[in-house]
Amino acid sequence: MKPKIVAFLMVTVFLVSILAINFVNVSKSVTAQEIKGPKSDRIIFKQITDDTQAMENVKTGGDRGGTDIHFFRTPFGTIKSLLEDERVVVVFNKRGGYTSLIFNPVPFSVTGKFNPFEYKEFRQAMQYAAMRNFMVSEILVGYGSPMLSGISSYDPDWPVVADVVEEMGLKDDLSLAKSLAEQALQKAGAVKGPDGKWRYRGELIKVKIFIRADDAVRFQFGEQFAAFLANQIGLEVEKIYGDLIKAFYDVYGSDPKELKWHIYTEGWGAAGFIKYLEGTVAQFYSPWLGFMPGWATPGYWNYENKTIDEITQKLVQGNFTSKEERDELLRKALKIGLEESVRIFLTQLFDAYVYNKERVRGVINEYGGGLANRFTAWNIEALRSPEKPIIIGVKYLTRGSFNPIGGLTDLYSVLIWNTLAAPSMVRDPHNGDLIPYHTPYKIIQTSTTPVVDVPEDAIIWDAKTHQWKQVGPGLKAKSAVEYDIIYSRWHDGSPMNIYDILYNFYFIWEWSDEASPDDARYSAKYSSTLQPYIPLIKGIKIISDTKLQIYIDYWFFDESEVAAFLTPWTATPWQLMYAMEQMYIDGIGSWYQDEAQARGNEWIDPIFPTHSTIIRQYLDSFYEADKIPDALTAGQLPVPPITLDEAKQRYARSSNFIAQYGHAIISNGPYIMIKYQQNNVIEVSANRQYPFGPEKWSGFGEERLIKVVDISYKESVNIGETVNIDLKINILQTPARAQDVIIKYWFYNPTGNIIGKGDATFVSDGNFRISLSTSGLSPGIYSFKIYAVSKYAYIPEFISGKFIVSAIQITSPPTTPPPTTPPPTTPLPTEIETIISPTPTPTQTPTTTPTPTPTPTPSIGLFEIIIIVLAIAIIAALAVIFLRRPKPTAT
Amino acid sequence: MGIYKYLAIRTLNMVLIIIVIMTLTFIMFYALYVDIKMQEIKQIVRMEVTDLIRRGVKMSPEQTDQYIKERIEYYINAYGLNKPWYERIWRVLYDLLTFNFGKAYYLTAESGSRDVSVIILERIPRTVLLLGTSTLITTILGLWLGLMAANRPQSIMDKSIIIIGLTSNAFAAWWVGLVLQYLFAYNPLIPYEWRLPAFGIVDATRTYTSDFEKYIDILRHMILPVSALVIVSFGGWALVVRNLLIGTLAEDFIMVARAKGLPENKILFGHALKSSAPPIITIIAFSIAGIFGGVIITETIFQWNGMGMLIWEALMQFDIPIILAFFYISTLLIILANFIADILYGLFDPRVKTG
Repeated sequence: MKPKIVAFLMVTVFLVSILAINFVNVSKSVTAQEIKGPKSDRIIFKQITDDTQAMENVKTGGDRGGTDIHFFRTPFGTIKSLLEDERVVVVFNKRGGYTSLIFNPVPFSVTGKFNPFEYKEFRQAMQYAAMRNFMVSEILVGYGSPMLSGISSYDPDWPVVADVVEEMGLKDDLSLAKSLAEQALQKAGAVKGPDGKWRYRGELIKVKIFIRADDAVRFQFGEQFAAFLANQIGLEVEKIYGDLIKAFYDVYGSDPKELKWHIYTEGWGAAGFIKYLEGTVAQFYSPWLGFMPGWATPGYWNYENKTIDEITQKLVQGNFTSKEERDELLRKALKIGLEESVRIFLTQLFDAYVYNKERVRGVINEYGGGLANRFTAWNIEALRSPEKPIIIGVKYLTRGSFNPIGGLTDLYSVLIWNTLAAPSMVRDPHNGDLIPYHTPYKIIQTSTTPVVDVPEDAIIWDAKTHQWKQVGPGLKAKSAVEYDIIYSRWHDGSPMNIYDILYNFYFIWEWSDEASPDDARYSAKYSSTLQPYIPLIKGIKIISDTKLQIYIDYWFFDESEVAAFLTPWTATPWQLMYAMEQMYIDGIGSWYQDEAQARGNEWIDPIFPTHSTIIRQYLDSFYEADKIPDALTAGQLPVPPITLDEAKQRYARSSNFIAQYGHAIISNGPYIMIKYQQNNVIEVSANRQYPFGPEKWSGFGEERLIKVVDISYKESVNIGETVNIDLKINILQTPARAQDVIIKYWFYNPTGNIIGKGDATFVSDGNFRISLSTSGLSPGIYSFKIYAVSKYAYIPEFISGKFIVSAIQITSPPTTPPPTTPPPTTPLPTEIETIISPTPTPTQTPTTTPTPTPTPTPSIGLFEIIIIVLAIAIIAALAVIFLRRPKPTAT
Repeated sequence: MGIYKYLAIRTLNMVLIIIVIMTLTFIMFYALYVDIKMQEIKQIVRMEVTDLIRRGVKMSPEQTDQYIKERIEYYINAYGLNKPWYERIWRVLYDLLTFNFGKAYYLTAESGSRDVSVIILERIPRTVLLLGTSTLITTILGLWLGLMAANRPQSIMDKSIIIIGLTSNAFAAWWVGLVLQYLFAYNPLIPYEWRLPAFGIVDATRTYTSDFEKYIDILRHMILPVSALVIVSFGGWALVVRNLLIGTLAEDFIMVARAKGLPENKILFGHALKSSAPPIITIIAFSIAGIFGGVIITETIFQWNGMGMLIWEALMQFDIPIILAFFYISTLLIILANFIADILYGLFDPRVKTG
């Protein structure tokens, strides 16, 4: 019996121990799900200006004197070593910066000097000399992709214009480039001498290329391009090296007819995720915006193209009534831009970001901004040493001001501010879709013409009489949107309410309208910035404290963009705005930097001790004087005017906050700024009164990328047969549905012309088919290109392949070659390279997502250890007691 | 020439030199600044227009042209670019001579003030601490090594010191700084707790329980930058002192002192060093003047927020008021140092007194 009892007891103790551990873990999980605000309690933003040092700090880790993540792109030269370092993860943002060339097309008739770039055919030839694949593989060593137009293949608008770009047939082909260039030169009357150099009227044709020597990528490419022009084409090339400052002189600051440059190596930074790119096309191809040679500077020779100007103006002015019409205009504009080739694009750069995987998890990759975004700050948490704060390295804490009107103009302060401020809406970091956060909405009505009745009792602020007034009868608008408002809580403890929203609207109307020559509440700069918007706002109607309607003269085919045009939200409490207004009125500070210079005072910045002290003094004076702003009391206010009690409470709370923390950055987001040391650190603490928890953004940690799992097609077919390409496509291991993806294809004949294009046919979940009938085709080697992208994460996959159309029956079993490798058996002509993303070499694995998020080893706390030890001790004791040999008894 | 006349002439010289240098500096930077600023303004305005379009604002071409024109005019007026440089220079020179440096364009002090004087006064103590410490150590080390080498010419010690001195002199400060950072701050072989801080003045992520703890941390943060500065400087000092003293030690009065039986230390410090003091003091005077300028590269590498980093940031952002103030004060200090060195020279060496 005894052994059985022992065994029973051992099993019981063991089970109890397991249950105890599980109970502890379950308790913890429940607590984690209930969390409000960000995942981490504290974050310290540490300024590290040197990029190489920043990387060393990330390797060290924030709990060991370094940092956990760096909110700035990794230096190009360190990427390889970081990829090999086991402590860190490198995450690529494939929508990083990009490079381009711009040509000076000033004609001979203006300068009296032959300029090959005057001729469109010569500029078009340069498209084939751009050596994009070379740049990507040799200069960018795989950390980039070819870019053929101002809209890149990583942009959401790419499927709209892909056909146009493909039909241009742009590719790396130096022979073709040389041939086309020489034809253009001959046609223009130039002659190639026996020495291989081109001359016009006996004079050598000279061109100047301005190479940005301060950028390694542009420097190398510039050298290559100059060598091509000199050695292959036979032009005299003068290379001018310089940085941005010199470029300001020689390129942007000079009249094109002075011919200080013919070619300039341009570089562009990522400007965040933009879903609709009319502005981009206008900027890169139309003269009217001033980004083309001449820079729209009066007195300079300016490149002109009335056709593209008209089309892009229609686009940016919204002169279309449907998405289809808009898409057609976009395609036309891009086609003209590509044909003109005054600006040609070269490569898209993959910006790399790095974090310490042993120390943290929960980073979120935002296309355009990389890891440096608000979601990462809200979602990041420690894996090791959780009692220590997360340390985020930043290149600079700020390069501007934090005032919400004229500040927040630099990337660095915006990053910090976005961590502290609650947004009305956010954009999905992977596809740009608008997601309401604090202002869920409903489109009441929207139209391309102003047919929506604005209610008579909708209100606007009258800057002349300084009060709210009803709009009255007969007013029409294009759109009406109703918002529900989910308030947050201000960092000083004040509850957010409708008065904060009203004050925001008051400010827009009051400060943009010069009611009289001595109107103190007027800023010329603010007015000019808002002038185009003000006439579009027809009125606001307050339904309740948490519901509001806005009437605007704005229409867009994507209704979410209509809702996002003007949301009823603010991230600065009204009492703080009131105090800063007083600073402006009293001449102590100004909203904008240049305004401060012009007025001879300070750029208002609530982060500085001197300014926050002044703000606090104003708040205290408002408290003492029982002041209430007219914005919350005057006129036909549809809500009860704010009470003096509430106003004074607001002043007191904000004043106390400033006294406690030494700054006046009071917002309503998941983090509160508790410490600021200039050029050193900013420390933020979790705001557990924030209404949302990590469930609101942690889903962004997963990029729902497309994955072409398999592709199968016959390598050779007879004429008359149909080529069927079958694709197996997943999104996150789940077969993709038709509505989840965009799959476009193009077929090319042996000479590279498009013979078929379209969208893949949906067969079943995860299965898509592309077909091409070969009837009427000649025997030869044909090729195809497929663009596949998930609508949830705009990082596409490109697949290309070749097949043989034969007049002879060839019996070879259908094979499924790897997607990007051509069939190896038959030697196929390879002199023409297609523009595809190169397969990274084995040592370089640029990925948009990090290596799988390290599964944290189950963390066994002290309590669990005690339980286990006790259990073992009990079992051992029982075993000793019951299994001990009885002492032999004397007989 | 009487001493007072000499002083008056030297003072006048100083003022003239300052005026000429500042005028040249102003012209050089201001002309460049105006051109660059104009281009910046045009870019800014065009970006403003593009941003409006991206945010859904519709404008006709005429409205866009008008908007661009008005905005460019606004910025030109705001930055005062509509005034030619020769109208501004007199005001600038007067302000500089009266130590009114105005407001910085971009940079601020920690309090938020844009007053250039406030910004500079905030940074100077940090540079003085760093470079003062390194200058002191360099001077003492250099003097000691130079003395030892000079006292035993052609000995193994002398030759070793010469080699060390030449090597030290050849090092680039930025390279030494990076190597020291790697060896002592980022070296994976050293446990994390023992590593020295790589940059900064204090560990801003720490909360100090007392001022003493903070000062100790400051000292820890000084170890690497001071070491870098000492390593690249002491060698030169040692060589200079050695070369000065070798000649002095060969003089007759030293032989007499030895013959009198004076201790060797007294001979070295009381006689040889004293008579070689004038050039040494001149070097010290210029070193102290150079403290203000800071060591740009060292401060930048170690992110030591002193004058060196300030001028670096100002140059990067073209903050003209700070650049002008910096060059003015640097020039003034060097001229003053030169002046003081001349006076001291006369005090130490009666042979060079005037009048």
